[in-house]
Amino acid sequence: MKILCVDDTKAVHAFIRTLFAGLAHELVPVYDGQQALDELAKSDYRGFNLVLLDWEMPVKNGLETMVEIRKKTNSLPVIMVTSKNDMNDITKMLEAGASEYIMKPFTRDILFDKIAQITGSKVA
Amino acid sequence: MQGLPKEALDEYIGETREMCERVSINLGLVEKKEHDDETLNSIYRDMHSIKGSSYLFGFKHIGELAHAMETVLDPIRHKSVVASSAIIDALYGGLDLITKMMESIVASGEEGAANASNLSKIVPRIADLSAASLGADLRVLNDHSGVAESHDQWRQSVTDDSTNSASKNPVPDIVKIVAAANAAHPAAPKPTPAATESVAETSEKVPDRLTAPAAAASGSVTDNGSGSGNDRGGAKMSEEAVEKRESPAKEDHGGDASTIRIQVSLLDNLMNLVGELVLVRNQVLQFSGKGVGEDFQKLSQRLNIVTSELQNDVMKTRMQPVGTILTKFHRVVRDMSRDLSKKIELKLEGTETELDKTLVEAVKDPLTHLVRNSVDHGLEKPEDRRKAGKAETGTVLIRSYHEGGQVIIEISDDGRGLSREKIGKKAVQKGLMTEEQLAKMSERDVQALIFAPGFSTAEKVSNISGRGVGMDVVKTNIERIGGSIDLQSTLGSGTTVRLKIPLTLAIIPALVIKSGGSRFAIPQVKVVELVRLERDKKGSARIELLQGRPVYRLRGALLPLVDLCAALKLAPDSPDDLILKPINNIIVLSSEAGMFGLVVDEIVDSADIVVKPLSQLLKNLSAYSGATIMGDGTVVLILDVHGLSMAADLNGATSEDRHNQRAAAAATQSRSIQDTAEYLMVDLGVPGRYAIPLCLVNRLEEFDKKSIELAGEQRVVRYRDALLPLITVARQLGLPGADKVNSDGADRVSVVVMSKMNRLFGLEVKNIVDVVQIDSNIDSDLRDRPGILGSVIRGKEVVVILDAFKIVEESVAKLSGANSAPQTAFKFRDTKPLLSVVAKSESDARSMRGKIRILLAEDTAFFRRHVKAFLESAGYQVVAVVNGEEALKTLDGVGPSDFAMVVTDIEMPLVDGFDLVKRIRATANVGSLPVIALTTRIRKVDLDRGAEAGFTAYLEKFNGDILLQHMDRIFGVTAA
Repeated sequence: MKILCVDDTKAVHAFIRTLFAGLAHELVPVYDGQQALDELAKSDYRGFNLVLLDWEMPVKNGLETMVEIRKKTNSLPVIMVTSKNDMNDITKMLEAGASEYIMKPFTRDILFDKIAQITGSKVA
Repeated sequence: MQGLPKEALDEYIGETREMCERVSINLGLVEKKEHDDETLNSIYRDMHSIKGSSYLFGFKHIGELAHAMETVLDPIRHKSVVASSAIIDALYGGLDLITKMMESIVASGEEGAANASNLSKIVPRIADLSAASLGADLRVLNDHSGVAESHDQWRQSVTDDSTNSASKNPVPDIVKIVAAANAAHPAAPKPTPAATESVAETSEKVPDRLTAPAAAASGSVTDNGSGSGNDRGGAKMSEEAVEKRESPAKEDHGGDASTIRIQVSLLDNLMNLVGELVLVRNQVLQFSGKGVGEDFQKLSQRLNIVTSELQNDVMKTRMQPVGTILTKFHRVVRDMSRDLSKKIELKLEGTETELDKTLVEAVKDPLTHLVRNSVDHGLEKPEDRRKAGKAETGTVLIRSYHEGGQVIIEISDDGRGLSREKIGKKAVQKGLMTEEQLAKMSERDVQALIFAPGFSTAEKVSNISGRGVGMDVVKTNIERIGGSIDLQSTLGSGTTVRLKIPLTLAIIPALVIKSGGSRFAIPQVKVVELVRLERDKKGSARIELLQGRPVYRLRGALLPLVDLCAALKLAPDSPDDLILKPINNIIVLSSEAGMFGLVVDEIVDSADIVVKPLSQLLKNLSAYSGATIMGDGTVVLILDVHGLSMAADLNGATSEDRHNQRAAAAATQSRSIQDTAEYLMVDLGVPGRYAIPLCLVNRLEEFDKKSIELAGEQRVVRYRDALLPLITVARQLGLPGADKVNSDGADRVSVVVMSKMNRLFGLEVKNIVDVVQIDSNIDSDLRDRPGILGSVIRGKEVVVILDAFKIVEESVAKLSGANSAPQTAFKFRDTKPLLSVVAKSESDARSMRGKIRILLAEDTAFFRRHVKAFLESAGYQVVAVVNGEEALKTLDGVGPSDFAMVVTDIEMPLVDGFDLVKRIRATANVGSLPVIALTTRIRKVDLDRGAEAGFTAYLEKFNGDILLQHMDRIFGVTAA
């Protein structure tokens, strides 16, 4: 699986990388929403199996990015990653087209379960 | 955190340090006012990132601290609050602590215990600031117009810290805070009288010499921030205002201000203590009423007045303007309107209206939902609005104001309004209503459907709406805090939702009543009126029974009654007793489900009560909402009006409630009664065990033997203004030993009263033994004589089940001669015979009937089982269902030969017999089926209604032979 990780915090990337350590998945890190859109556009939105998308980011935030992604493709699974536990925000995300959401902090099991749920294939 | 490689941890530490530095630099800019929007955003984002990654790496303390800091920063970056120096100081403090923890992590891999304990000091401080800061922006805005008076008032109301320290005089300090709260919005369009008064009072109490510099005062108000977030329709703060606000605040570091900051928990505690004081006051007043001397009375009067004032003022300290939550809707509306490409303006009115803090929090979520609804569903897109001849920009108006001791919050939009058709369609689709029910409903009732459970799930299932909050949840939440919700909508011009919220929950006026020997309190807001009913001279009842439930005609409208004793199971439920009681005290209550009358023994008093929550153990009792302590020290339970009305399944319930309740009731009924029937065990005075199906029994009575008279040969007794014929069961059945029944010395006789042919009959037995549940079928092979249905096995003994109807019929026939016996069967229409065959023998007839399938609808388990068994023994195939609705479901889509006949009871839940036959007649595939009614209701009106509804025949319950005759005739089976 090729996964695009979008988060402005390097530590989050480092954390996610450790979760996938030793597994045959490719993680591509980007640091804001615009970078994510650029990366996706390179392969005409077909190069990735999954996007992990942070909410609070500079340049282009997660919600704006989500809206842009859905303008291009409906089939790309996107998991919004957020530490906001505000119902309204989660509603907004899902309305914008996120396939699922997980809250920070999350564990390996939570993330892998969610991925399995929306992609239908086991991660590990 | 274990299991994470060092590289990841290093990455985290390095980045967090980097971010802390950046925040520190940016805070410096903010302090010097050299910042721009991006500076604030950057600080916020960094704190947010620190929070997120710290939690991820398992550093909860840092996460918690960063979260608190982020919370303070959020309103600042949205410019609803200005970063005061106090806030900036606190943020620096937080950063220092994070840095220390990072050092500890580098050294030991943990955040460090000492740091954690520091954390518990700093986090609440920051949290406090974030709450207080919400008050700050109001100050800023008001400074435009009201700064001068505000300071003047303030100067008068502050006391010098050195001469009047907070710890010595806690009460005046509370007053100060109230004053501060009032001063915080001096330019409010209509200051509440209470507020003005309070300021005045304060200035009286404070000597003139005690004045504080206006500047310090102004700063302290901000810090104290008794909470008010009015930003006047989202007006932008001017830089000038910021300057005015900032300069004094800068001088305010040392905490030498004339106000103190108080933990909310302290206010809560004060409130509780005042509550206790109110209770003591009530006790004292009660005591002083007992003639203990004039001096004491004067003192207690004084205590009364002071307590009331104190209660008012302490209540005010907990008050928060609703503006604190309303202003945040600017963002909600702005974001949503952008997402939905709509043009929407949010207007706020009366943001200064105050509510108890807990209530402000409780209405936040429901309000958010309502506003989102207005924006999402209520208002149209600009092009649609243009087409409708409206301004492109839609308006959402939130008004709040006081009315009759309650706070009203109205959310109105000038959108498309609710469409009766759309709501109706959806309700029918969701199975909440049938088309017929819908057609009968008023506009308002239809609109109210959007509050029905399961109604308002959004159409887009793709998103959260699948798990979404519906309007029913909004309604429940508002009702939970003692409020109510109401909706008005005009198609095309908009919708207004009106919330009524009580001012406070802690102390409420209540009506104290007595029932079953115990006292109860009812919140006064629910009480509409009190009615005292006395039986008039003729002794005729003013309370009537409607379908077994007591009702009273209150000025022409039927008021369902709930007997409190019965509802709380303090006494057995016997509606008849209500009718017979000489005096009934009725409290007319308004609940969300409609008005109803609560019948109580005695109305005691009205009193202010302090609501104490019920303990966990009692919380699930829906009839009570809390408890209170009365003047005499006794504990009294507070009745939950809504809970009572739900428990009583009122006729006054709104149609959808009623529908739901009935559906639920029917569901429980069909579950619990399915397999057991209840029987009344009686001793006939002869050997053997006998029982009567309980569903046939009206009442059980005991009569003095001397009161029995003879009317002709018939033994009768006077009963309810009429003569009740007595039938001695054993004698009627001709059982051995019957002659000796009731010839013993007993001077009372036991009588089972039942109704047949529209009048009452008494079955005389020796003793009434018990009511039992038997779940095996009646074996009808042991019918050795008319009047016996068969027998059942109960434990080790055989119980003979009496056919009480047959016994009465036989007895009447014997007395009056068979011909003059009242008619019990009526044929309404002819049908084409299905078979037209001649049966040579009984077994021949039985095999012919074997091809015929009958649908039986009957809600009473006993009859359902008995009639089914009877028809099956005659050869028919029988499918039995528990009500008309089930019958319709069974008939849905069946072929013409699946069922040859429907036999139905009349009185059933959900769909009764009349409705059932009407709907069968209106359905193509089964429209011409013969339908026989089998019922105890054979009054003239019932017969007329039955004929009109379309029954083929109408039979009184239950004479098997007559039913069989009619069925054979309809099917064309004749005996040779």
